[in-house]
Amino acid sequence: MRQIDENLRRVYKDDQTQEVPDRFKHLLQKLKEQDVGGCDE
Amino acid sequence: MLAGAMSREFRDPRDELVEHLGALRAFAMSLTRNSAAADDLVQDTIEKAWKNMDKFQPGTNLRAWLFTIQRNAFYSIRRKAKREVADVDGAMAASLSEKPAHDGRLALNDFRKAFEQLPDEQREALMLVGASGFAYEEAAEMCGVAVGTIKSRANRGRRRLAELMGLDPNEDPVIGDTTNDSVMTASLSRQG
Repeated sequence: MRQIDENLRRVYKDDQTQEVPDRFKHLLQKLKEQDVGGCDE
Repeated sequence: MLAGAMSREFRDPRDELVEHLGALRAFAMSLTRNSAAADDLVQDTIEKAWKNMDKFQPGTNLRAWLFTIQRNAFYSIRRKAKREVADVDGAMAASLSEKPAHDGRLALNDFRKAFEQLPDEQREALMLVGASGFAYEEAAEMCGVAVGTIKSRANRGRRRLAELMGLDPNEDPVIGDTTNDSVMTASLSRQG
């Protein structure tokens, strides 16, 4: 069943290497800014 | 300073999250089988991880920790939405109406469709140990089950995939590079 795993890795790699939507970068930025704001209080 | 040494040894895991987004999306895709739901699940995972980052032990596997959060979030959402969800499995089964081309290679899209038909726990086990490269022990810990259970789920999933793809043991079913164009098209259409 090694061939099945090889195909699984190809599917996974295909999904993994897709460009990450900006919404996630914006989300991380927002969370970071919230943290900074929280520390200042 | 010790703090300086620590920071050199372990980066703030929050700064590493961005490096795991692709893997989280791939895992979410395998769980939800739907790109919009997958992205919502990734967002939920990031927010939960950020909020609970103090529970992450530096030096341990951040991806495994994130995947654990993601799968827990998935099953939590799944339980809540169960009554509202249509027969996804039935729809998926119907979409695999054509037999795969037996030209020595499998079309990646057919493989995806076959994979999507597997039960949640088999898809999850195969994604963790077959695709992502986690050890059975790591996958077992992430899923909160015994190692033997993960092995059994993964092997049942592999056998079922072979059946669904109509694999002949003598056939070489590795997907050829010539399928890449259709794969990319399929991926892009899913994105839309």
